[in-house]
Amino acid sequence: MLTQFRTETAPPSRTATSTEAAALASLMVEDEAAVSDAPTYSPEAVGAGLLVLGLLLSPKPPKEAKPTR
Amino acid sequence: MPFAETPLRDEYAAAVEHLARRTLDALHDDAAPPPEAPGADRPLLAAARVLGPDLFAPRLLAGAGPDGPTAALLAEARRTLPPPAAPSAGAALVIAWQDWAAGRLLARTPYGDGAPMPPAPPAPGESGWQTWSVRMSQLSGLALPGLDGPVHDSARTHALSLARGTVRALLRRDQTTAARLARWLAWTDAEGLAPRLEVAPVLDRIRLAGDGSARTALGLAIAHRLLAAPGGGRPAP
Repeated sequence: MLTQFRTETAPPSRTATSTEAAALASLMVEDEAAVSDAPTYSPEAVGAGLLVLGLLLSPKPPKEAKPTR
Repeated sequence: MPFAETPLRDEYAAAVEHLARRTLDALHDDAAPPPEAPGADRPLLAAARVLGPDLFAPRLLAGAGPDGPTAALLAEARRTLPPPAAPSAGAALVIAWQDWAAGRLLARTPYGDGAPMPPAPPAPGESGWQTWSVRMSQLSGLALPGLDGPVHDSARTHALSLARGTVRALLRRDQTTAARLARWLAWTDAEGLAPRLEVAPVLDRIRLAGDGSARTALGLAIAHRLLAAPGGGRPAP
């Protein structure tokens, strides 16, 4: 629906309004995009413990069968 | 008008794009931006206020001084639209430095009004290189030949933090911030400082994956020009 849009346009007066000042400030000082932070290494004790436990419980690799006569 | 029923910020952002495109075309043609019609409308004045020193980039990178028609437009924008109230102290400092840079360039024309020098921005040691690099990206309009001051001294001293900030922005896929920091890196390169990061591949990456806006394209073009002529963009002493 068109009514959901604001119909504010540039004011005709020669003095800056507060809305205009806010629009200007946001364009002059753009903050960095809030996407995601850089991937950082964060070791977690629980995760590492689970890994070690999984390694210990994992089945041993099969050995080569001895030739039978 | 194509943006008559959009919020005010969108209207001004569209005007910024329009003016940045004209400045970019002028930069490619090695000329001053064509003068706007007399009695510029308010969105255009707002766009001139936002772009500030970048309006003179085509002339400054060609080794010339600010041109009269562009200076008249910027001076009228500064008269009509005083510095806006910033939401934080850091943002206020950024606006003050942008105003200072525009004032320094206007001082070479009959429209000079002598903007006072703001306090120096905090060093990376005080605020951390992440915060500092974001602040420098907001001040990338100052990375032009013919401008020098405490912000430029900070860029010279902390070129490694600029490189770190650029890589961080690339990892965050924040191409706009990365483009602005890469422009500072190109500026330090033009100053003859040892490169902390190979800038040309970064610029290519941003060109391919960037936001596609004319404002970012203008920053990239300025960075390319700074890289292409190390020290050549500065006016002869």
